[in-house]
This record gives sequence, structure tokens and C-alpha cells, in this order.
Amino acid sequence: MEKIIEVKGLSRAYKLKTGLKYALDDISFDVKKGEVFGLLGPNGAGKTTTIKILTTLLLPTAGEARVLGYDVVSESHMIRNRINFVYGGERGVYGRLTAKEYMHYFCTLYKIKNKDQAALIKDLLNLVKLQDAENQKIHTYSKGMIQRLHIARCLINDPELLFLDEPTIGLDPIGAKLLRDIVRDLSSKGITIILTTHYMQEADELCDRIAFIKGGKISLIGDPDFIKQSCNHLNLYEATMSIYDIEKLKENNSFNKLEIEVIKEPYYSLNFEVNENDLEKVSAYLSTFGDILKISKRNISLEDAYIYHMKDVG
Amino acid sequence: MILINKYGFTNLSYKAIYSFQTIRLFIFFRIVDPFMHYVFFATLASSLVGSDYLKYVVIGNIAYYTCQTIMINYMNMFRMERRYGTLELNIASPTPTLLIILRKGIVPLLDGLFVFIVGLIIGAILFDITMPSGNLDILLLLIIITLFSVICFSLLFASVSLLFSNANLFLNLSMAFFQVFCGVNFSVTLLPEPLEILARMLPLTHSIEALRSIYNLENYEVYHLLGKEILIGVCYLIVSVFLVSVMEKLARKNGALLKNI
Repeated sequence: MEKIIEVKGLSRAYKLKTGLKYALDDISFDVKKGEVFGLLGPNGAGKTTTIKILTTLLLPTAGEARVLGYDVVSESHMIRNRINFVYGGERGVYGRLTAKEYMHYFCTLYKIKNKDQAALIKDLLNLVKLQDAENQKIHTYSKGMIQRLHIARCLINDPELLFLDEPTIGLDPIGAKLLRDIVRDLSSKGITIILTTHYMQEADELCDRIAFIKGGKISLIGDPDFIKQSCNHLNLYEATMSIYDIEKLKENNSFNKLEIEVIKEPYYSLNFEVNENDLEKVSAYLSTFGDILKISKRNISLEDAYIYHMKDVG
Repeated sequence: MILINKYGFTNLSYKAIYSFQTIRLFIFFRIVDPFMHYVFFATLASSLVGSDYLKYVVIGNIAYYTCQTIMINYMNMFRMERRYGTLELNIASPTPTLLIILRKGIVPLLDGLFVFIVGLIIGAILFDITMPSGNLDILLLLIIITLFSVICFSLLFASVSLLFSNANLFLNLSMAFFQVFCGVNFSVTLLPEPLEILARMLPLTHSIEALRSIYNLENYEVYHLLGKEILIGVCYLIVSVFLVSVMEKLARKNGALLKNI
């Protein structure tokens, strides 16, 4: 499949009084046409820096990045008309304008012919379900509405490649679902999407491939199943049981990452990791603390894999 | 027609980020404030060197206030872009940065035109600065040329605004520099020769001399001065065009486009 992004040995360093600080340190990856590619990592890991470089707003200090076959440093003008981006949050809008005016403004910047602007804006505002608020000033919009407006704005130039940097941050579940549906819809139309998010379920649901990034380096890259399988050695269990002495259980060192949730005294729901693969042995050991109602080995989620791979991040 | 297009770039730029949106603010900052400025300098000049000098100073300050209006508001538009987090969205668009900057200059240019005309009207009504008949065409030419050279100079600040999140320091220094070295309150011929040469490299200096000559307060060859003013404007335009691309590259290198205020 055609590579739409090629990143080789990309670095971005900032000069500090104490020396160089690497926001990105020699990362390499490719993104294929039509993929939804997730960049996941903690705050400050380098996700946004990567996106800023690929959207031509920031220059790397070393390495090479090509977007749609063009170099991001020297051929930015060839890239800009074919990509677009959304940064999460409420910035990036003119509060005094209405959504319709805001869209006209960017239509002009993206060189959309005057006669085509009205129809395009209508379609895009319909797509993000803002048609009823098109004449409302943006400063009266909720976070979710602003995010949807950003999505509409980033589709003005019918981009081949979209960068979505935490697009669902701070949204309520309905707003977040609506945005996920839009992303899925865009992906089905063949638009390549680079997505960063802190919501693992969202990444699992949307991404074809994922890269874990920490400390400016890519630590793992692959499809969600591959990433989950990388943690297959973890023995994660979930159980529901009545417990005689909860303190004794909490003090026991055999259980890693023990999460206890009270259902109704003395019934508890437990999630834990142990160094034992045999369910029967685990069950037998756990029954020394109470009566087990239900126990099972849990499937590794993307969140489990993320926590495992990011465990050394402060 | 382009300027008054409801969804035109200039109109939307004005509505989105320009400082003065209401009639009340406009009256206060575009009529009352310049009036107070002229009165202050007129009073100062009258008390120091006598009322004969009053018209000379007011004329200089009308041109100066126009320049100040354009420069401050032009640069402020980029400050507002940063504040709203929209600067990067503008720059990342396929429209060349120079063109975006130039188009954003239309609003402060029109604002400056308004201030210039209001200034001349205030001058005529309050300070009896009346223009000899038959000079209207040359006055219009002077206004156009002055606005051109000032906006070309202001482009320098607009391009600097790409790199610095707060270019107010440069702007304030420039405004103070203009007030001293452009012959606003006294003739630049009174300056030491090296400083006079420097003064004649700035926009506004020749325009102020030409304006005073039109009002018969000085006796220079007006067309000659206006020719020099155009030349200075063109020079600043060329420097600005070059500077925009340099500043954009530096801003991408330093991540300055992404710095918010």
C-alpha cells in the first residue's frame, strides 16, 4: 500500500540552560494510505511535536519527514493544500464570528471559489450537525460544538490526510461518540487519519495501527491486536467474591495492581495481576481470603498494554 | 465591492480580531482620543514657543497619529491571532503568508485613512488649519502615499510578530523614535546631520514636510517630497517581503508560531 507519511530518524531538540532537551529523539515510522494511525503516549511524550512537524508548522532539528511524498521542511507549500489538522480544545476559533462566517474565512484561505463556498459550508456544517447553530456566535458554543466546528473546518479543502490531536478531549460521552462516528465516516471515505488521544478505548475502536511514544521515542508500533499480544505474558484476572478480611488481602504481596471495588459488604469485585497462569491455582489461593462467586482470566485491553509499556514513565 | 462583501476576508478579519467593534469605541478612540492628543501638543507648543507654532505642531501630529493608528492596530491583529490560537491555522493554509499579512493590513489602512481625514477636519475646525484652495488633489495624493509608506513600514512589525509573541517593545520604541525623528514637533533640519539622514530614511518625515508645505507652513517642493516618500515605502515593502519569509522560517524553526499569549 502507498506510504502517505514517511518519517526517518526524526528529532526535535530544544535548547535549555541545562543543555538540549529532546521532544523527539530519532523516531521512524510510516503511515499507509487510508489508515487510521494512532499516536499514544503520556503528556510530553512527543505526540503533538510529531504532528506539528508533519503539518509543516515546526521544523525538525534532525532526520527527515515526507508527507504525501514531499519534504516537510523544503516543500511545505506542496503539502498544505492537501492536509488539514485539528488540535483539541477550545482554541483556534474566532469567538466573535458565527460558524458560517468562520467557515467562509477559512474557505478563502483555502482558495475555495466564492460560488462554491455556500454549498460546501452547508454540507460540512450538516455533517457535523451544526446546521442549526450556523448563525450563532462561536463564543456561545459548547466545547463539543467547537470541536465539531474544527472538524468541519478541517474538511474545507477535502484533505487526503487529517491530523487529529486529541479531538475528543474534554467532551461529554455523547459529544465524544459523535466525533468518533465522524472520524469513522471520514476513514471509510479513504481519508488517512493520524490520531492522538488519551482514551485507549477510543484508539482501540478507531485505529488500524498504533504507535506508543514515550520520552520522544517510539517504543512499540503495530495493530491493536499485536500491541495487546505484546502483553500476553501478563496474567490478569477478575473476580467477584465475598471477603472475610479485606485488609489482609490488601497487604498480600502476591497480587500486583490490585483494584478492589466494593459491591455491597462483604461482596467485592477484584481486578489483579499475579505471576501464575493457572486459573485453578489462582482460584484456590484466592479462596483462602473468602468465597469466590466468579473468577476468570481477563483479556488484555489496550489500556493494560499501555499501562504496562508506560510503567517507567513518571 | 470586495471590501464590503459580508463574507469577504477583510470584513471577516475585521469582525474576528479588530479592536474597535462598536460605534462608541470608535468615537472614543478615533475622534476623542486623537482630539486630546492634538490639544495636548498644541497646548505644549503654544506655551513653550507661542501660538504661531501651533498649526505646525498639530499638522505633524495629525500625520503621526495616523501612523500610530496603523502600526498599533496592524500589529495588534497578530497578537489577537495568537491569543485565539488561530495564527497557526492561518499560516498552515495554502495561502502564502505574505498575502495573508498584506490582506490583514487593509483594515488598519482604512482605519488610518479615517483618522487622517478626521484629524484634518479637527485641525480645520478647532485650530483654524485651513488648506489653500486648489490643493485638494495633491492632498489626496499625499494621503494615499503616506498611508502606503506607513503600511509598508508596518509590514516589518507584522512579519516580526510571526517570530515574537509580543512585539510591543519594538513598536513602542518605534513610535517614540518616530515622534522625535520624523519632524512631528520640529523640523528634522534642526537635527544633527547624521540624525537628519536617519530621519529621512523613515516613512512620514517627507509626508509631514509635504503636508506642511500644502498648508503653506513650509516651503518645500511637494511632488519631490512625495516621490521620496514613495521610494521609502517601496524600500520598506521590499525589505518586508524578504523579512516575512525569513521570519516564517525562523518561527517554524523556533516553534514561535505555536506560542500563545
